[in-house]
Amino acid sequence: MTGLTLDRLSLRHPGAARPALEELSLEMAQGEMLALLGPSGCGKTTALRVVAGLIQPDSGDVRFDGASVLHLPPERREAVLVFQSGQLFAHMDVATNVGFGLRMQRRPRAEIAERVAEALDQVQLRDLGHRQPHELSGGQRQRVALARALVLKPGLLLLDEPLSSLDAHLRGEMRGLIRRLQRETGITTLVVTHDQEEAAVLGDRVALMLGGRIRQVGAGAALWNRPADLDVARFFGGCNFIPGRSAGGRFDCALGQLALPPGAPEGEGCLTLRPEAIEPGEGPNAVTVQVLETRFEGLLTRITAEAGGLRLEALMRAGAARGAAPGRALRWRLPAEALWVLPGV
Amino acid sequence: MAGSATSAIEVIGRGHPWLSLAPALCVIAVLFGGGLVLGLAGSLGMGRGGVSLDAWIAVLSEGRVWRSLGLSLWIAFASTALACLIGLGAALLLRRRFPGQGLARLLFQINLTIPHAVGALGILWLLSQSGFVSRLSAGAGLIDGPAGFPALTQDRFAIGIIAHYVWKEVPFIGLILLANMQSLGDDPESAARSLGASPFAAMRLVLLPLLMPALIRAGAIVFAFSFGAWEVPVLLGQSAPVALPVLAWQRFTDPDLATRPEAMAIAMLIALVAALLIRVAMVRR
Amino acid sequence: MSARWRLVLGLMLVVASMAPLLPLGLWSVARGWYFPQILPATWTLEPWARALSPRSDIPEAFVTTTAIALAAAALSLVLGIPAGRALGLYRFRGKALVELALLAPVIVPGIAVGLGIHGVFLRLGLTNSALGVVLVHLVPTLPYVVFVMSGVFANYDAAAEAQARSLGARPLQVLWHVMLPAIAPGVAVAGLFAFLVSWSQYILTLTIGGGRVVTLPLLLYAQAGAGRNDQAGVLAVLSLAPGLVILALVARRITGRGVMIGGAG
Repeated sequence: MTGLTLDRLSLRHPGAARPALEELSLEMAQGEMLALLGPSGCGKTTALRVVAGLIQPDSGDVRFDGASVLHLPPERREAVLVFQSGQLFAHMDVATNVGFGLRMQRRPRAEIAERVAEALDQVQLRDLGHRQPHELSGGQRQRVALARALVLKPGLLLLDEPLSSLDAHLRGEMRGLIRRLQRETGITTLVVTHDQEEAAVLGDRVALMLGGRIRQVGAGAALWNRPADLDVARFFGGCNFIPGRSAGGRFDCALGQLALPPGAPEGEGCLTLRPEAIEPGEGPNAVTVQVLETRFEGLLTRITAEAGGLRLEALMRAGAARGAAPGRALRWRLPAEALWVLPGV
Repeated sequence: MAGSATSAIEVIGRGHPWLSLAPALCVIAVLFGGGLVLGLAGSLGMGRGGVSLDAWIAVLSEGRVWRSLGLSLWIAFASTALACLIGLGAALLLRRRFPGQGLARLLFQINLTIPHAVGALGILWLLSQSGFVSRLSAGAGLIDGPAGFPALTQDRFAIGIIAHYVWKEVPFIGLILLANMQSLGDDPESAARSLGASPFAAMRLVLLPLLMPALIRAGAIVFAFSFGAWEVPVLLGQSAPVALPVLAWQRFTDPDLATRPEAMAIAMLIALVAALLIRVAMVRR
Repeated sequence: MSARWRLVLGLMLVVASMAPLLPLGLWSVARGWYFPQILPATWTLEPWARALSPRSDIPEAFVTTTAIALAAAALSLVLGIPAGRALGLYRFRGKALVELALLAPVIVPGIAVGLGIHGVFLRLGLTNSALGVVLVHLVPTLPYVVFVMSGVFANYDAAAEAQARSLGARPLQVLWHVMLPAIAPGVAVAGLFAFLVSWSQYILTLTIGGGRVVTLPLLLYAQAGAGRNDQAGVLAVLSLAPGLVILALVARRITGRGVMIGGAG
């Protein structure tokens, strides 16, 4: 179990217009599972490779338990990276693949065999040791890759999009397996993903990375409901932004005075609330809106409405959305606990 | 027969792929297949009335033929081994960035386009006892005259011939391996490194095995060529024993037409070695 | 390995690659270059003047070699593009066998089949003629074109043809406006290297041409054998030229697969 510190890492790939990492800092406690979330191209895989030692940063530091590891080559770091594609070695069978790292440590043959069997057991592939990689399904390959890392009992496990190459129905299963194994082994795990849901399910905490830097770290729900800025709010699908002023637990804006939850930032800013938080009917923070458009999106219906010259979007279940027809006036409640103020926007 | 081809593909050349293949296959069948069949027939004395194994018996019981076969096998083995080894080194060298890498890669490819005849002449003028290297040695005071320079061409060990093939085929092997390395990418080695392998272990245990199929195929092509080419040993080889292809040509052009079946038999012998190579290295298992 | 070591080793590689070309070039501009002179005592363009004079047989051989190589390359393309399309786009029973049949001529040395082909052509009256030489050059050039084109077609999306048909194009229009533009770069590479393979042939030319069809490589050996190194030097430089031009044209397009088939010979 290793604690990880990334200290103001910067890196620009040769010839690239924008840096892949820009003053990126992150702390991980021992035994923690953290999801590094971000859109494709935000530099998250680069960050993972820097931690693994496969790329050297231009500046900044990587520390394991407080000690810099920048001078260490990948094979001497306590971190093991599991590649997105699994990267099973095509010329070795499953057991040889899993035993590769132990072989590099020159462990005795018997010990390797025993630990490989144990690791394959952990990922529920007990009897597949003699298969060739091309004989495995995508999910099995990913599990072998996981076993190949776990068998080394690394201080830090780095997972690069471990579920992205899997079919939808396999993802849930694999997600559960990763969570369970992480709990059992307690290995500090940094998992990179572009999928919000995956990040929320896998990570004890989620770190959102945009444009080469960490924008917000916290529990999944905090990032959804308490975004630090407009970009974060937009990344998570926020679409209601109401300019105004926050003072004394109330927000002054074109919709009138709205009650805020305790602890909301003060001053000029932008009020945000998620579209699915809006409820129909009377109550505190109720406003009158004029429906502009409704769009059926399967489970939910998206209603676009106008109030005080502002556009609001709400996502409601079919029952709640009943009666919302273009041109009609409705009363919507904006629950105080769902409101959040982005200061200074 | 058109198996799993989708209908979208059949817009042009509707129907059978065999229709598109037929012209090329016919030409190869007539020229290549016909050449082999007539070669075999000729070696059996057909076309001169009757079938006989005389030419084969004569060829296989002749010491010169066996010495030539041995020489050609030596040339092929040595050239292939060296070309593969140096080609691999060159590919490993050229795959990483360094100043001037682009130019080095371009210059590296030039040999591919040079006709063997030209290259062989260049090697002769470079390595012979009155050649360029010998003159440089004399200039440096290392030798007194041409005789002081070791015989590197037309020599017993076929050094000049091997030098030519290595010179010509290192870029061939190197570029094939480079292309393979490019399509493999860095990830297999990176994965090995992250699992605790040293750079050398990652190369030996992961990269090399992944390159091996391509290396074997390319090596087989080099082996076949250096075994069966005529223009290189005829210029750079000694007069006895001659390489097997040179011997075949000597028999073929002998004023005594009676030796033609023997020439054909030797040609078939060369084809047989090539066929074995195809069997070993080319057929997918 | 450090960048400096790579530079040094890379330099050695390049020097070793270029070394045999040096004496060839020097001989073509030298007069009386005797041992132990490291460089020619007299530099002269006389060998070139002599080689290009009307009494020399080099200009004619140059034209013959070029014409044969052009014809062989064109024929290989005509035959090889459809075959490459079939191999690149379709999966069918017997495909592995077809590929093997087309690969075999690349592996089996020219002399092994050349002597037999001589027998075939003798019966067809094609020996000692340029036409016969063009045809025999197909043995090495055609497989090369087929394999390059099958690689090109493997990366070609044939659905574009169906889309064009659906938009109202007739088959020939599809061929001209959809397929050809898509495969043109591959055709160019295949054609240029087929040209080069034919240009470099020696033993097949000699076997079928019987010494009547005189190409540059044949003259090269004749002059070198006669000890006329200056003329041989000129011939060597002339023989190098198209390869260098073609390499400059397609340097970026050389693929492993293309090299695989065309490079060794």
